[in-house]
Amino acid sequence: MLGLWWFKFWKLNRFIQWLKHSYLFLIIMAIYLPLVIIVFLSFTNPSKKGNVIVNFQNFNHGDNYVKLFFDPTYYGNFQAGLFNSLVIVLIVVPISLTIGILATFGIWKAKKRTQNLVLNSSKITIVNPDMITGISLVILFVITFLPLKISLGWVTIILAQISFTTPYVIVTIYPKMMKMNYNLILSSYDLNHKKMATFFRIVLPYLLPAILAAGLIAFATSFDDFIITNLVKGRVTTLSTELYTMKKGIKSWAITFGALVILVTFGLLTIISLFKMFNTHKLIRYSWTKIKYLLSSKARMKNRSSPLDQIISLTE
Amino acid sequence: MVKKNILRSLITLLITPLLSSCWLWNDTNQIIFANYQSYLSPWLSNSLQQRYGVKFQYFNVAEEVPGQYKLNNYDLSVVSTSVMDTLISENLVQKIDWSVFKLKNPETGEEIDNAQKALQLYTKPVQTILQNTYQNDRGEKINLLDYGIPYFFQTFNFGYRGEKIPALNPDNTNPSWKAMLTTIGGEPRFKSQPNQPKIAMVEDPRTILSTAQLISSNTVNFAEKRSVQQLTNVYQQLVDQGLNKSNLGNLPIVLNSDSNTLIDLLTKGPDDKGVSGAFLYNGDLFYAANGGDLEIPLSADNFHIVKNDHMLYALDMINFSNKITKVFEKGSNNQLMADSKLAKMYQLVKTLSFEGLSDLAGILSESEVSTDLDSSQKALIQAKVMGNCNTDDCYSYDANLNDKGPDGGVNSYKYAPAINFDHVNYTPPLKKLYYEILGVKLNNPSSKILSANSSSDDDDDQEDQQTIQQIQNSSDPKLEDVQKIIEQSYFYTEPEDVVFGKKEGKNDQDYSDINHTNWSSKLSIANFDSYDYQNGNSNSNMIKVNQLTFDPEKQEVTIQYQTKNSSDDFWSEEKEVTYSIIKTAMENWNDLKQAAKDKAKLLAEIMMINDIDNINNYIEKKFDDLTSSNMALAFSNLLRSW
Repeated sequence: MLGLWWFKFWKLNRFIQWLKHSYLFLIIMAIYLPLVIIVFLSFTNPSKKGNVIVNFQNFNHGDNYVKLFFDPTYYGNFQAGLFNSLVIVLIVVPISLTIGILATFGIWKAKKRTQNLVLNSSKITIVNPDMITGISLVILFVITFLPLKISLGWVTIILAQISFTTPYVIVTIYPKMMKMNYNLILSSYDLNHKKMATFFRIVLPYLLPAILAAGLIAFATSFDDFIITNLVKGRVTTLSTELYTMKKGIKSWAITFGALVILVTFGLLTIISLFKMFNTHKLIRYSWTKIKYLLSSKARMKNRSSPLDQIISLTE
Repeated sequence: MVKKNILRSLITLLITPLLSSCWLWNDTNQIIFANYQSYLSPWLSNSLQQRYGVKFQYFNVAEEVPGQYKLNNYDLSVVSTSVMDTLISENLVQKIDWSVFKLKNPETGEEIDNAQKALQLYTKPVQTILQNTYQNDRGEKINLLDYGIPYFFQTFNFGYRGEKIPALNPDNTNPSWKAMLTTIGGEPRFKSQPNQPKIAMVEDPRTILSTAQLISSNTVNFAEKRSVQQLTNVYQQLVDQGLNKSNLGNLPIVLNSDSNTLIDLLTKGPDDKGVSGAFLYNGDLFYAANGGDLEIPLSADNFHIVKNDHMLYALDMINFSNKITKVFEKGSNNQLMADSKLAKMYQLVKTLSFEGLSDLAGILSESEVSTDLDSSQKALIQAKVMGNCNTDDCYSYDANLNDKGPDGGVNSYKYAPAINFDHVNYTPPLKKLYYEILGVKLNNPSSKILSANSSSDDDDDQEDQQTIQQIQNSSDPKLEDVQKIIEQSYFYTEPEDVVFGKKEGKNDQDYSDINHTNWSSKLSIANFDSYDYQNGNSNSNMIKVNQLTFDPEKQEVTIQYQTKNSSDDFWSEEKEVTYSIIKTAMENWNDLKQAAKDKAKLLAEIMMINDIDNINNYIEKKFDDLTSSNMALAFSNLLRSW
């Protein structure tokens, strides 16, 4: 009896042990399995109507990736949508970053009451459901733009996206700004820098990591947005509005594009982690420094720094 | 201070051109064509994009269109007739000027310059719907052709898998909706398995409401506003008539707004986690019968459609937004300027709907005024029209719309309407195309006489000719007549397999001692015959039998073989077929052909839409706002009972 109980416990315990060791992998698998499936599906032949078939048969040799760029009957509105999305992002991100940085600097220098007022009001836009923001924007545009014979389109998409990406930029940069020591600026003044020079030489470099992060967030929100963009898009379509109109089956190009994004992201992450590994693993680090030494001595002999040298200095 | 000014001007410099360039991009000269997703051949959409600079946008529901027209976001769209009704009553669509198309009636040669004459271009049921369904504010009937060009025609049907159910497909009559639902409710194959519904229905509240309405009434519309309770009662009739949990089990019906998902379920069938029956529009059933996305081959004894005495009909129409300004040629007040947006839109619709119907003079004059063509291209067009060209390429006024294209590549068809039909697979409203799909050419009177005079010695051929003439002369072709000449229709495809069987004149007893060791001497040399019907000859050199297995119990033989074309030197991929050994190759071939014919008959049955009395009662009309919001609430009540 006891033996049986013990056996059961031992078995259970083994299971618990196994779970302890592998639950992280299980969770990671649950997150990544759907993405892996997308990659697999991107290598299957589309149906007669260009839809993706989810029976994991009829694999091809990556024909879809070629068609995604060269066969208009395959990609349909994809390329136009992607182009429009990229143009919008390229306009929206710099503008919202500029507004965001200047606003953060202003908030930082303002009185406590104004600081709270502006920060909280920018949070409202983030918390507010997109649908409400979108409807309010479309009403605003219809009242102000249509009477001027300007129809909804590029201008309204860009203005709407600037208005909802800027708060994200402010919220991302402000914590870094708060940590800035005012004495830094004062010492810059002492060193005879004017206000503008101080802003560009001291404040901006100090904020750079936060600005990069804010830029990425602004890029993602702008590129992804469907709800607001769909309301104000007028005659322009973006990638997200194209993706959301698939009512009769999922088009194969969407899967192929998704897989491409996944593969590119995966590739970039691999490269980054490889670089990190070079710097952490002892043996690799040793040989790496050896190579670096050899390269740099060669470079020194040539009396100029090679591009590779510059990259190496970046990774240090 | 100076630096501040520099920064300010820099920012202005950066933002102003960006925003102003956006302004320029906001080009309202580009034509925006709004359509349902997957409702146009991708090849055609690409070619139209290149020819007319048109951009296609897809909407989720056609009810979006009136709002988008008001905002000037769409220029033309494909919408169902109920939305057309809204568009006309709110004055959002333009009147169509049929004389711009420069069309001629393919049967009479008469010029079509107004909507009344244009009616002759369409099939009988479509004509009835176009003329009799809607009224204007003064109570006068509207001819819908004044505002739109028919695109595709549909019916809402029930298709099912497995053996034929006699009550659903009686021989001489069509069952009513009520009778059909009662039969479905009592049929064991539609009873849900645990967690697996066996009936699918497209999740569209309005379509389901209209069909529920057909149970007790002979119209799909309501005379006045309806409350939530009244609408719930209408929906409830579906449940009362048989589609309920007590008849069909715990999960009676699977609903999805993506018809493609339902097509997949129907093609998979009940044995492979699919469904046994589905309520879908006939084009979707057609696609399912053809195997759907999954390309599962289905035979006619395993797939059936129920044609009811009263069904829901839907007609989709192309229409132009009223926001587009008409620009006329100088000195004329009715001729559109050749490169104006509206003129391009007319050209676009002419290509999409009527290519191949155009008269020669029209093509010539169009090419002469066109600014897109250079002189050599114009000369080429002139040569094609005058007949000084390769016959495949010539433009001709009495062309057949389903003529094959010269390239024989991706598009087997030459003209846009046939290319589009080949992809979309809904019933074409255009009479000429509809008849050609059924296997009958509708050409101008002179060629009709020619075909009538061409006498043939063969009795079968003469019989066929009689049937063809009968269909040509009838305004509403019958399924039975079409089935007689099914081999000439769009639906029939000749089997492509090589057929094997007993050699002609050989004795059955020759096979009695056959086994896996002696099959080659017994079958392949002495008694076995193969026939490559695809290539139309009996050249055994081109067929290589790799493996042959014999099942003595079933008297069947399974053959793995390869074929080789005389033109190239490569053996094809290995194919496998199973044939009865008792029959000769010719008999087996006839069996195969009969199966293909049956399949074609099924497809013809799905595609054909016949005229019925008061067909306009079965077309949806626009709902007032209150009723449509009530409908959404009532529909959620229905979902609760499923």
